[in-house]
Amino acid sequence: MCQKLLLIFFLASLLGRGQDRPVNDELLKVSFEPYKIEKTKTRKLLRFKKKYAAYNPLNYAGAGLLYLYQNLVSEQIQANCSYQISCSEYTKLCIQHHGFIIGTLRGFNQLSECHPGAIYEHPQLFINGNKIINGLDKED
Amino acid sequence: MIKKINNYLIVFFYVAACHAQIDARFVKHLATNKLQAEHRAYLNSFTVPFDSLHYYKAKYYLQYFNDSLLLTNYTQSKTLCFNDQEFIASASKLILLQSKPIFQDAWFASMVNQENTKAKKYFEAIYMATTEPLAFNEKELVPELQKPFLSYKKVCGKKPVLGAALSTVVPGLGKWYAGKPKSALMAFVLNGSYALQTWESAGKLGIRHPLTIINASAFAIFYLSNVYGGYRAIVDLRKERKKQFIANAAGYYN
Repeated sequence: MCQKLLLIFFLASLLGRGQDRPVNDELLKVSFEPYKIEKTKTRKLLRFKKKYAAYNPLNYAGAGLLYLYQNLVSEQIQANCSYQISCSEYTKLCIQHHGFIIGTLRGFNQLSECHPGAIYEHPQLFINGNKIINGLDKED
Repeated sequence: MIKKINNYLIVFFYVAACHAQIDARFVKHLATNKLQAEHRAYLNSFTVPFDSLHYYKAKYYLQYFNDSLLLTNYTQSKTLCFNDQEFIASASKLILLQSKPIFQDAWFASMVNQENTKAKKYFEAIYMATTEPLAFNEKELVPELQKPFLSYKKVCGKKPVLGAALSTVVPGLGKWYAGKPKSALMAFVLNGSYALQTWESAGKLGIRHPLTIINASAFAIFYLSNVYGGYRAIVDLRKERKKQFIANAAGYYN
């Protein structure tokens, strides 16, 4: 009886192998794949969402002024923004994303709302420490 | 006779186990250890599509959130997915929090014909509350969620265009209307001071003087941004309070 059972199990295990799938090879390949260092793209002054926005000199003028502010003025006055993305950085992002007019308006709007009391006007979910979480993903 | 049947049954289960399509324990190990590349490679190694593969793929796309692929796989293995209430709850939570309205509509439309479970009822109520807040009765929600819902409902009743119009008349009034009194006061003081500065320099130095032009430009930018801000304040507050309400609701379900 025991011998019969063993024979049956042996046959069953042969059947049980099923189709030979190269899963293990694939998994090993994925696991031990050498770490690839992606090439960093050359940095542009601004990356525009719309193609024609790249030809608007006002965008570059606005971004250039903000660059000067960030690197010369902001460090001198030790500006401390209430927002996670600072007002100047946010304006630059908005100019990239929405163009010069809307971008500037949004930036200046955030600037006028940048005061310590603003933290109490946002829900708890949008507060990180003592900074208000802002960003373009929240708006669009 | 019974012994023979037992032996055949043992052999049957052994063969069935050997032929199992997906190794569930292995998938669980990949998911808990967050081995994303291996997890994907393992699921993609199955060339012939079947029900449980779509279910595991849906779970994979839930873990590494991708709403469109989650929906595609969910629709192909609906019954299996729906038996897993934990999956339904976490998928509903993530879709409500992170997906676009089109995916939210598709997700909740796909659940219409399914049986009424706790997770389904709960998240459908939250979905209804977020899509039609003005028509939704807050008493249908649990008391802990009524307060965040009411604050969301309150801001939904306000009109962004009216906010912009109010800010045009008096700087900051649109933000006051939206429910941001501190920012409203700040905008009023800022615009008022720039207006006074422009007025003074125009009176003393003349309109064509460079200082007057600079002051007037600054005032114009802040004034226009305040009008735009009156509009944005309501739109942004709506989104923020909606997300806060969904986050509270998801937290309460857990």
